[in-house]
Amino acid sequence: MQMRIAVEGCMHGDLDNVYATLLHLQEVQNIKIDLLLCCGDFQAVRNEKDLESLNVPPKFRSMNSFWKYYSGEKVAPFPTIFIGGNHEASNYLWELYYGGWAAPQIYFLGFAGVIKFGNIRIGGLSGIYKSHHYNMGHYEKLPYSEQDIRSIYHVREYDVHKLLQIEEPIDIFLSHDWPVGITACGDLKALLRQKPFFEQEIQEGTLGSKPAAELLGKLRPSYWFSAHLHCKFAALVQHEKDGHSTKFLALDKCLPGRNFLQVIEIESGPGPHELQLDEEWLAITRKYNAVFPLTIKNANYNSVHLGTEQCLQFVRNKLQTRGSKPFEFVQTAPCYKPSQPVADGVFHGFYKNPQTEALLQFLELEYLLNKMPESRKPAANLAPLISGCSFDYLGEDIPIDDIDDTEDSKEVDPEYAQEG
Amino acid sequence: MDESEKRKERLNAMRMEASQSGDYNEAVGYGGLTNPLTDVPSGNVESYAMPRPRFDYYTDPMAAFSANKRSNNQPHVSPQVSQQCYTRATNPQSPICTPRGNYSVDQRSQGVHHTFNPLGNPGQNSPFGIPQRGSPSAWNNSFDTPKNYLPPNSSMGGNFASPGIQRGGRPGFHYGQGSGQPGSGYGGSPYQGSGYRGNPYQDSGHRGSPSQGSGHRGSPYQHSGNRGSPYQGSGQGRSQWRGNSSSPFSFRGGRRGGRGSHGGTSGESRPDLYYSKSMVEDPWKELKPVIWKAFPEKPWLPHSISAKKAKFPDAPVKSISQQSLAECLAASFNEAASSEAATDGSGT
Repeated sequence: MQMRIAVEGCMHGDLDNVYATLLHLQEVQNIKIDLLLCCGDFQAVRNEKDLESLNVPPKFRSMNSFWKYYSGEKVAPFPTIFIGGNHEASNYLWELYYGGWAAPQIYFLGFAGVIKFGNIRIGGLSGIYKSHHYNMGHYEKLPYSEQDIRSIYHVREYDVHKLLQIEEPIDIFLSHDWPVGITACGDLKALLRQKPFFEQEIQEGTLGSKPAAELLGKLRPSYWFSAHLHCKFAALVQHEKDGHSTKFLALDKCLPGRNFLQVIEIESGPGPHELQLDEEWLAITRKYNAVFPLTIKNANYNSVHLGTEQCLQFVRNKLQTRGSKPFEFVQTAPCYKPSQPVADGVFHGFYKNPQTEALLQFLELEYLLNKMPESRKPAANLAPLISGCSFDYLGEDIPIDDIDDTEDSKEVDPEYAQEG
Repeated sequence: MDESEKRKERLNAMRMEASQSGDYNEAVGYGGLTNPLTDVPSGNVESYAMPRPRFDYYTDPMAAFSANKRSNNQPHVSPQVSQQCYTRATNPQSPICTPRGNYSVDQRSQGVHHTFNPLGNPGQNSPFGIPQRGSPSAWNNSFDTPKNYLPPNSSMGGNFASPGIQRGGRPGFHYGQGSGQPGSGYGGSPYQGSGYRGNPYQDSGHRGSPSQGSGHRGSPYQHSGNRGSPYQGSGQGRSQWRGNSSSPFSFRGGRRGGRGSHGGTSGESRPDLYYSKSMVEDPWKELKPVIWKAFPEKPWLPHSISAKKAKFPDAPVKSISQQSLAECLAASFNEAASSEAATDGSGT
């Protein structure tokens, strides 16, 4: 049996169009798609309040189409798994830090996570890498400041550290930004013809994510998919260690004429397939949750007292009792009502997600997500740091509404040019 | 005024010359004078026998673009194609991979074990055969078909009823949503009592499990009852592409669903514009494996590209030995900061 998995680049809340394209593809190719993977910028915006946690310029803040799937007006025609990027309803994704259903049929992999679909093991790392936040904890809390809203999706070492503990093989891995150095393993000239302004960053070794590159070398998945740079780029990586290879593919965002979708086939057991919690990942989660860093300080791994094998056995026993099905979707925030604008202050934007609570209860772990440590004053603590740095937060804030560049890809890329 | 007269005379002369050469009409017809900004006289358009189709570009900018896109696309396939058969296609370029089956690290020593197979010849070259991990069943039994969907009846947070969830339900895959679903109970909402009305995937056929390989589904793109949706209507008009102010699809900034169709043609009304055959072709077929070095000692670029870089003189670097400690720190900081700013620059 073969499983057909569709992969999409940046979603940007455009679920309607992506699903419609896939339905069309099914008909034209006379095939059935079993699963859709999305590589970030999903924009799981449930209502107007969520837009306040979405890092896009105000004029581009629009509901797009995820809310229909959250509210139940529509149901995804394909099981969908996604990671976060740098344009997200970060308040909602934080609710589901450990992963969970963002909507029926639509599963968020978590800030870092591994899940199984049938016999396919899928891992992912949400966000993008920025060195200045990498060694900090997840200090951001609602309501997000202007700085928080841009840092909350920056990859943290803690999440990468957990992923690096994985020993069992991964079939597919998702990251929003590309592993740094990946451009050396594909048709670089073609890439530079399409995106000539990448040259300097490639030359300097700064195009992409260092932790993603580290994970690629460690996990050596069969496939690695990314997005973020709004272009299609394939690479073929051979790992020195064992000769195993990884097929890398970055994809574009959903626009007419753009390479935003790819269908691959993977050998699998007979379907239909279901999503299952991953035993090893749950064990890693259990092991490291006690040092979950919720201030600007990184985790203190010396305080990890649980052994890996001990956690594995614990999770194995639990899963045998309960089964490996993820916890059920539950709406938390109110649904968007186009006819009824929500007045400011009516609801807050952060909820204890019952899925997260259930998972932590299952793992016998403490719920930490909305704890506000006394020492946590991120804006105040970081002010000197941030004001002292000249890194360009706004550099990530590329207007995503770049429909006009469809004809101009050979010219200076407007997405980049607009950054200044 | 004099210049205008001279220009007219010059253009008349040019036109006469072109007519006498015998290829005037051909040149115009094939766009030899296609750039009106440079070639059309500003004061006397009427006297210039520009063919009308070229001028359509202004009133319908996407006329040229869409036509071009269509010509580049694969032949349009009618959405009436039945999905009843999920037999393997015979696209020889579709990528295929064998998963790692049981997760034994030892298997890695067997080398690259995912190979590309034509869709019509599945499973070959797989050293592992068909993995038998887990007990496959329906995609998460917690999922329900839309007919059992009961949206929440409250608008505030808290413990809502779980939509789309039914213990032991048979999810299958939903190819579009059926119409006439139960009312949602959104007080005052346009969805009240309408269920999934207006779903652009409005399904005329069954939506049973495709694994059953039976049943015919009508066009999934039929539109009905969109109650003012931006996707209302056919969306076929070429001038609607960009969603400019004259477009009926212009809803940027509007409250209803945002700009979900990219300012004009949605994938629901014209999925063929979004679809490309390359989506099912092997993107790695031309590539050779490259040994992975995540952090090469020197940033890697091909010689041809590196050579180009050398054309740009490096900024003069002040000797560190001549700098004070403060200057050293400032220089280090600026270097790090500019590096990060550059890194910020590429993505979205």
